[in-house]
Amino acid sequence: MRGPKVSPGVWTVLVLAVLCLLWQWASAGGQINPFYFSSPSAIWGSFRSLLAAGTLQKHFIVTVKEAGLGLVCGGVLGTLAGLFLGTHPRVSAALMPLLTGLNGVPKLALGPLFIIWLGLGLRSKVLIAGLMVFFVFAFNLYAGIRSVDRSLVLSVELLGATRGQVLRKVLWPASLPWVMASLRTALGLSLSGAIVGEYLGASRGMGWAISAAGERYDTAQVLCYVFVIVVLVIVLDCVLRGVEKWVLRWQ
Amino acid sequence: MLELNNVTVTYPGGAGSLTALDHMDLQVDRGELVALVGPSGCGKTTVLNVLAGQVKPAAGTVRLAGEPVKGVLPSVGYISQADTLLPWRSVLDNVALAMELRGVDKKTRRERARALMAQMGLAGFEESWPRELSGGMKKRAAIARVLAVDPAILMMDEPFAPLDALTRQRLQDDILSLWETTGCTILYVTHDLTEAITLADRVVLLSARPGRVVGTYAIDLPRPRRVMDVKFSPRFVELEKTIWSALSRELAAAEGQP
Repeated sequence: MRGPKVSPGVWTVLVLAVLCLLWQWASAGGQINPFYFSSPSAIWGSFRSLLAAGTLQKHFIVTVKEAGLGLVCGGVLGTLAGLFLGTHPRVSAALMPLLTGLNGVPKLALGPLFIIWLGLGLRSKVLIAGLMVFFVFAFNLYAGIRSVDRSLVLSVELLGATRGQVLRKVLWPASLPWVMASLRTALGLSLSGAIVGEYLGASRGMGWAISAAGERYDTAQVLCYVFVIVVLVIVLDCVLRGVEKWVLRWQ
Repeated sequence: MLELNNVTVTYPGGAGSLTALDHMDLQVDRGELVALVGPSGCGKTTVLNVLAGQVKPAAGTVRLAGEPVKGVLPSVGYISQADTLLPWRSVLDNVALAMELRGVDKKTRRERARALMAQMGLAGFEESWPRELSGGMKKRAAIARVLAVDPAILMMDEPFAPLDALTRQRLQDDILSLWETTGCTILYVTHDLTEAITLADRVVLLSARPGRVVGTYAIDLPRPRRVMDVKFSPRFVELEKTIWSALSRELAAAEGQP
């Protein structure tokens, strides 16, 4: 089974193309009802008209901004929390059960509460996305710090390093693989946090647009936004993978 | 130079405490190469940990150059058997690490690190990652990293134990020529008697737990030494026999312990 070398990306596109063709053929021939399931050509049409009207761009930017801010805020705070907990065993012994419990609360269920507190705009979505992301980073970094080779830390301490130097020159670089892993998990989480937040109450954003199109039974538009989100996540994940490869090139 | 007087170290344990060192006396003079030998679990490493300020003795005094030891000493270079190069730094930046921690500026520390790497036979590997080095080269880089800040004394804790026999022998030669050219003071902990005799001016034999000094043997083999030359000299065999008979008594005693 050895053919010429084809990159996996080509296969992904090929599979997608075949599925689209089948879908188009089935909806045109009446095997599936295009009213419920739409069709690739209808989705494409709705993509072009949304693009021409500027609606797609507007909602896209709103959602990306919410998710991005949530990712950055939640990521930074979660990283700091994880670093702190990992380096302070007594504090973490007291706080970890609490954090684990809080993480168990479905954050989306708190959405309505956040909207009451912070309004329908940007801030409530950033809070939802940020909160989802926060726990990923906090738990990963905590585990990362705890798994750092003790003999590495000891050897650097014996070279005369201060606590701050140990943190900056050993613990932080040693946890970078965990930061990168968190980032990749958090990417999808922050987007779904923002989108579902918009579902719960908003006047803009792709989540809101999906829910509005759904109410009009405009399946083509719903799926159009879904595809935009899928493509966005794939592209960002590719970029992140490149960054990860470079950051962790020593591995 | 380095003095342990009447040092006792106990570790708290489940069923009472464990005495690792019992009224131990040890002295290392400036420029001396002393090997500490004993059965495993005899507290050899504890001696180094006390000297490095990592373990506080329950009794007795520890002095380095007349000053009592408390906390980590910047003037002590510590080399353990673990691979302690930071994997995310180039070899050059690893060698420069101790200087970096002391605030030496980038240009100076890189120059010094380059020179040290050349001296340790690592030229050409400056920009490599540690994972790309062999076990022996990693060890050399670790030694260079410690030498970079001119330690008053080098403490080596079975540094070559995980390496294969050939590499170990080459590194022993490196230690010999390093010591002969720089005149540094070395305290070398090992369970390998042959290695101890090959390297040291003096072999200090520790008892089974709790560790005490049970014998000190002056190694009067001529210098400069090379591992291959000393190994087959009649005097070497004689010394090894003498110390081995004492060591095997301690080994038997160690086996009688739980």
